[in-house]
Amino acid sequence: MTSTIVPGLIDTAVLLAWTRGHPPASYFFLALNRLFAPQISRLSVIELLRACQSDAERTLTLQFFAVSQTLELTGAIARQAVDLLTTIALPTQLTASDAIIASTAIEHSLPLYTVDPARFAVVPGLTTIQPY
Amino acid sequence: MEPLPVKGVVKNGQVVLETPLNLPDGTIVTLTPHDATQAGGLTDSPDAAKRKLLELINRLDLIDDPDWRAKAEPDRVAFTEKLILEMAGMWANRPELGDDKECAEPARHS
Repeated sequence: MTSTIVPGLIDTAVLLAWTRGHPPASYFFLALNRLFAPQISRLSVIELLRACQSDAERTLTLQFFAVSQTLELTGAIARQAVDLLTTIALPTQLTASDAIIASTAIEHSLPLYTVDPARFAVVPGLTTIQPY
Repeated sequence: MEPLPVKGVVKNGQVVLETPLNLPDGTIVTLTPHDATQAGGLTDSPDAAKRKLLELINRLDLIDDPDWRAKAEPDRVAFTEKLILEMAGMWANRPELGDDKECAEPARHS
């Protein structure tokens, strides 16, 4: 767990780890929630909704989004993601989703909470934090 | 043609722009009503999102309170905490789901 929790965008993988029952991810969310509403990308909303397999799961997931702060996908974020994938050194592990998430964090001047900081190390101007 | 990045409001049947247009006199323009649900992207308008949040935490009494966010914060935290615990492991015991399998580990999904 990070010693200091600051506002930051939460990567989809952290959300998935939590819903998959990874205890450190749950502790992270509990600690963060006491300080700020979780900040997530609209892309993560789509990815989590896509992973739901029942109405009950979807209901809980939608409730979570309603109490979170969702950062929208915008034209500026899309352009930044394209610029990023146009300019980073190849080959790269960065996926299209990674590029959008990273660009969202940069656009909002937020660090990115990710379980895989090395993957995002190629993104100029992005600060990453390992949440646990 | 690209939409003009200018907003205005209707007053007495006339559109009053927030900033003057940098267009020559005589230019014909088309006006369309502003759609708040589209302006921010794909989500609810801020008012709809606020109502949804207050409904969920059972604090609709704050809907017209200018300080609603601060006053609702303890209830938001408590509600979200319950949700976090309820959702933790929600998908852990499901059968493997094809290409979703990698999500079982706390690794990058996409």
